Amino acid sequence: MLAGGAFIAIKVTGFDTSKYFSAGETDLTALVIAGAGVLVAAALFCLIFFPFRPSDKKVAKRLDEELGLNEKVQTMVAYRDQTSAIHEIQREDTISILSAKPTKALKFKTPILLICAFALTAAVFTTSQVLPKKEIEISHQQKPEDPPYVVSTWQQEALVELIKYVKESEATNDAKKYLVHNLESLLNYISNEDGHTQTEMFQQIDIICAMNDADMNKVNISDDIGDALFHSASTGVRQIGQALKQGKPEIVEKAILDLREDLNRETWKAYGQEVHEELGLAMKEALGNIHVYETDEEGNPTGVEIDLMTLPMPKQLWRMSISILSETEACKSQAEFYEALKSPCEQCAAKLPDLIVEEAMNVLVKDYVNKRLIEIFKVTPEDHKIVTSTSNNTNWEDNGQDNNPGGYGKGDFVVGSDDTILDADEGYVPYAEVIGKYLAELIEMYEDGVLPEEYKDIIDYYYGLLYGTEKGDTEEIVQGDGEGTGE
Amino acid sequence: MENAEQVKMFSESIAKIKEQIHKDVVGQEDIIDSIIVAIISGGNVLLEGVPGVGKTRTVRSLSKVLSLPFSRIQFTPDLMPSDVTGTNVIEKDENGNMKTKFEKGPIFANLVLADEINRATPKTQSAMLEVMQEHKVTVGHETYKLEEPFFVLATENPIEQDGTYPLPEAQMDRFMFKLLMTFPKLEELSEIVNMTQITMDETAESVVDGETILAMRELAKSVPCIPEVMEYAMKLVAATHPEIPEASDTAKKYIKYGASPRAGQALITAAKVRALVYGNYNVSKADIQALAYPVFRHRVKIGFNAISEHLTVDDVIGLLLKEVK
Repeated sequence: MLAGGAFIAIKVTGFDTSKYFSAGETDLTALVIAGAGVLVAAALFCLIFFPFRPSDKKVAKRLDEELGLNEKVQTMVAYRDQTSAIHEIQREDTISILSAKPTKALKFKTPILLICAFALTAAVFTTSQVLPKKEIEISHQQKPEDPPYVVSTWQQEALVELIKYVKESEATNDAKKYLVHNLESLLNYISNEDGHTQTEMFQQIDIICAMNDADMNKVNISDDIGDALFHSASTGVRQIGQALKQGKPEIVEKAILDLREDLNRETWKAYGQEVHEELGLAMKEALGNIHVYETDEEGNPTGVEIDLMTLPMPKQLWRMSISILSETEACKSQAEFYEALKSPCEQCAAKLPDLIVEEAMNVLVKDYVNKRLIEIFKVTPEDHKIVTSTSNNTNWEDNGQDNNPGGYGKGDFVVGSDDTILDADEGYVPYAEVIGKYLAELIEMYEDGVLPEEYKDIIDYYYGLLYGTEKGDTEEIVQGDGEGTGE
Repeated sequence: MENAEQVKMFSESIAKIKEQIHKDVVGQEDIIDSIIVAIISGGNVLLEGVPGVGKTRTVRSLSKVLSLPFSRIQFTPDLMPSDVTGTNVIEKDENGNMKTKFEKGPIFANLVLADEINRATPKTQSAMLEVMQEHKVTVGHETYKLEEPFFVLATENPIEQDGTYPLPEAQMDRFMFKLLMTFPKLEELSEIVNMTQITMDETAESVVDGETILAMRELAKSVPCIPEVMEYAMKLVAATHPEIPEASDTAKKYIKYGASPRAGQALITAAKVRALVYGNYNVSKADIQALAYPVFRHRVKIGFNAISEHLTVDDVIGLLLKEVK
């Protein structure tokens, strides 16, 4: 009833309610709800009043008690049906006395139950109208837009082309198998007639990229190294091996750092020499069949140590093993250690470069695939600056591309990515900061004969995509943009 | 069947009675009202008061106002039952033959003042109380019915206890009320002396008769009493008994023996009359509470706890009324 009365009062007085809640269509709703509130309050009143209203007897008792009538009213009510003279006189006497009593003599008895019922009803209906609607508005504002993601023909074609590229690449068969499988699953995903939202699509791209990373780690030689270390008697060495087998660089790094930290602890110093010796023996035994060596033009081992820093995944491991082994008494001097490392078996001598190259190629192809996926499906104009390869023109039409935020043509220069990569020296750094260094290292490897001739095209093509230059201008990239040239 | 005229008559009669009695008796309004209630209710009254407060004068004046024969019996230790009830005497008839004749005793009156009843022997007390209860006298093989309305106002002298025979509780129960006649107030005392200087005789006039009293008694029976008031009266009676579940804390602590069911009868009967006497037409709890003192006073025996705390029976009744709602 209060809600209805408040609504009517608001309408009559013209009170401006827009300050407190949204107007417009709520008027009709408020009217309906206020009316419903009135009906509910009336129903509640009937439900409470009639069953629970006081009986005549109770009313009579209350009148007698509060007006000091000495059971006159109660007697009148109890014998209302009696017709004898004494009863009639008693009734008349009672009525005359009641009539003479002032109305104020009877105190109003607060109907607590009724008041509570009315207050509850009024609170429910009034609050539902008076409370501001901002919560809903805010919730709408906070909810991010998640529009449907429409895959264009170009994107599908680009993905098919990427699959073809992987099949024709120089990655190992195992690597290709995993990459192609992942890309084909993505193709099936985008071909689904149900459609996907932008969020779903982006998440799927991230999943595919992560799968590619994990698969390459499985394929690469680091798995063999990890397996070898995993069977070591040393716990620290086993942890490194286990991390390598998982193929996650951050875990490898942590395992190596943990082992280093353990060795540096004060408590270990008393046993340091012994621990170092044990670790040294364990590392040497585990790495017994894996050698780092240099070959001449004829492929003969020269006995000169290869710069391990140029190797991707195992390089941290090599550095750790060198530092550990060099500190042990098993190797009296660094020279003796190197001597040990310099005596490879013939199979390893022939095998290692290929392993390294294959591993590097797998990683290259995988990185290219992941970047390409982002370019094709994930990058939007709002997220990245887009500069054409020749004119810095952001007009996509000049590049012959349709105005589709999901698609970029070859030669687009994409910057601003905050993707990071684990750098051997710097830890996790933005890829853009070390890309020049990596390119320089690859070039050096190529020039040193570590990489085959045909890999140069791949390197040019890949980094050309990244830098937006024409094929063959990697030198230009190195000279103009590279930060650091590797070691 | 009562009618409006009778109800009107009742109020008018009561007013007249009070008016006339106050011509002879100064003050003692409560006592007079209670006596009137007792007479109309058909009960007897035990009046306790020091000598000279107007006990005899009140009953004598009342007998004059009510046009009812009055007798006064002064109880002494040598008073015999036959002195109260009457006896057969032998006399000669006109032919000289001997015959017995019942000589009615002083009990044969409508209003009897049994003065200092506690001075009579238990045997005489029993004879008196039996007449009070049954309203008839049996002498030999003859039964003589007393004329209605029959009312006995017995007195007890609270001062002289030597040579007295206190009424047992069972006998006390036959009195509807026990009233305490107190010494008059100073201004009342002055008025009494001034009045009696003029004349010692009662100057009240007769305004009603026995038939009227009986009619009033009949009318009072029809005064409505709601069940709640009835229940309240019975609760009070039950509350005086410390040995029953309905006993009040007051009874458990201060009362040795509680009131009999006669107390309940007395309460309701007297309450109906009292309501009409005060111009009401229904019995109220206020009537019951007002009558609780004269009804319970001689029926409730207080225990050692009350005595040790210097509580009178009226104090205990007061506590009882506060406790029972």
